[in-house]
Amino acid sequence: MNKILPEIFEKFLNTGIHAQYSEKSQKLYICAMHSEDINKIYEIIKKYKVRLSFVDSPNPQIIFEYRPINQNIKINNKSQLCEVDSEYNILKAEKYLNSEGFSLGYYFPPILNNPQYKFRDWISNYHIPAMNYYQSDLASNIRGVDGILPDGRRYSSICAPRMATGSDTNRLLILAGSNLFYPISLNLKIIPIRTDLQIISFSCIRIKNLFSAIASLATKNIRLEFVALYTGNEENSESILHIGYKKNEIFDFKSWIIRTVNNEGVHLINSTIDYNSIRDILFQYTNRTNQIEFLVRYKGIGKFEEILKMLSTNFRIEGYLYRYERNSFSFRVILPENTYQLTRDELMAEISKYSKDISLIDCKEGKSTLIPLSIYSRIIHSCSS
Amino acid sequence: MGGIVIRLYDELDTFIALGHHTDPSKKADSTLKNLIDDLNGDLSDIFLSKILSYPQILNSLSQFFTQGCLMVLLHSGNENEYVKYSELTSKKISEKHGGKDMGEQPAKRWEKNRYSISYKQPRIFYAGGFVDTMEIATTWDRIVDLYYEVKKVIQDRAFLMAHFSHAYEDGCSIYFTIASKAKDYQDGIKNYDFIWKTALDTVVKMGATVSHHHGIGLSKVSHLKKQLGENVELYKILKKSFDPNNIMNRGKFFGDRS
Repeated sequence: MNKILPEIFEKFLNTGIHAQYSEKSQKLYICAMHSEDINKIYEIIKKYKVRLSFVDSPNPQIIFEYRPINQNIKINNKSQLCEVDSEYNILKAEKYLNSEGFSLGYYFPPILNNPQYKFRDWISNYHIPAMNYYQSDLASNIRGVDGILPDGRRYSSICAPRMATGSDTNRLLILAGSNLFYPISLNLKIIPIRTDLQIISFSCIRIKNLFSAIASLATKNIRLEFVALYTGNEENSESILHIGYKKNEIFDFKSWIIRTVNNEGVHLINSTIDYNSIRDILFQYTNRTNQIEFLVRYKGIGKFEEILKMLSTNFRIEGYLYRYERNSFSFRVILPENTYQLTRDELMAEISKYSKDISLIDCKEGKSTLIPLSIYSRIIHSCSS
Repeated sequence: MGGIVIRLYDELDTFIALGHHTDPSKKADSTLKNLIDDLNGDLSDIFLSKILSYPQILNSLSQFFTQGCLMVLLHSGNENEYVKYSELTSKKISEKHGGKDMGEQPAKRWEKNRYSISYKQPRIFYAGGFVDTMEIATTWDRIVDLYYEVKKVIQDRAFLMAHFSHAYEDGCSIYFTIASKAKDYQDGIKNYDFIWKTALDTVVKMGATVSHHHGIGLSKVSHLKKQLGENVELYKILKKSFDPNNIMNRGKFFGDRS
């Protein structure tokens, strides 16, 4: 039987620290209710030279949990940062930030699906190293951390820009998971929500007409904040085109697009969608596996529509506009897993007939690296500032 | 997509590094022009030595500059539309905050001469002075205070100018250039050490990082420890984990050959 644990247990009780000792499992549970408790705990365990383990560590002798009574969130408007307790609920934080004109970022939809998620849960589960600024995990948004090391000591970093000296240590602690570091509070980069955008939405049975609208948009010397086109959802089988532009733009996009393609059936939807929702839809699409990307010259729109029709005879088409340029656009189609290889081979054979106007990239095979990563940001990040 | 190179110079750096014009109606302005016309080239070593000995005068004269601060923006991208948009938007924002478009020349001049300053340093050393640079970083809410605080604590000891570089959405780095001269070598060493210590003490006090991207080295290591505070223990743990045989940079960070 461990003699040290009961002794430490007594010490904690005398100091007013919440603690619980299990003789059967030989474990001591301690709980800090205030930030000041951390220092008291450190002083005790330092004397006994025992290692503190955090709540989710395997085989701990002393288990630690931090339960702050006050859950705080504070916005730093000037530097677009927010300081938040790690016990704070992420969904609640996002709602609060939204009310203040900010967002935690476009990477969040998967995490927001779990309404119980706290920042600490996220750090424990989502420590995926960032590949680049736009396609990164939220960990890359951390600018400062405050937490506890295994010996009970407090680690507090200063809040600094992402690339400054010292930020790599913060990332190391976060990415190492909760065995090395127990976070108490975080300083996160937040993104201002754009309220200066006007969004108009169109739908159409023939996707060809929407591609034509994009062709017209691409050849004009006008600046659009974003153009998003994707196939309809279950409720709405028609394809949808969203255009975002600054509210102070004098150009009348609505009547211009309808005038351009109205004879072929495009119509305005009275959509209440906002740009955050569009951003989320695109984010979810880009994260799907089994994608094939078509690079299409605008003069090949008709032929491309034939290919999409052919595909739709076998399964419901899901796809989205990935990029558009003056002469061409690319459209990604998500194929069902079980028919992916077969469909891809058939498509390659079919497309060889139109090689001048249409080409294909197999995203699953990793050949998508031919496309610069910045293109992704053009679609997704252009929705944000 | 693309990006923007941004360099924002303070009054003195604008005046010295990127060329200057003076307002003939302002006497102080043209006197200053004569005084430091210029550190870039034509000044005699004797005169250079003299002006470096009185940094407080040079620093205080900067209030008479009429040029203001120069900000250089270089737009790049793989699409013309993006570059044009970036240029137009930057211009709008700058004008909204009182900026005036100076055309392409300052940016071209910067691009051509951006490395030239390094080759001008030997003249200052030959004149018995020293010149050095110090880059630090912090978030936007603290950047202006940090700039003025560092300036305040060393302006009596060194001729000081700065530009702001490496800007992010949440903050940026400040790149100080420091030049000074003492009466003899020993005094020069004391002055040099005092300037670095005082400046970096202020940086730590203001909650900024003692380095942005140049790293720490031996000259900043003691202040990195101050910046880290108790966190330095973590670095010891990490060093032991990654380098159990202590073969990397022995004695450089923790002393005692560890």
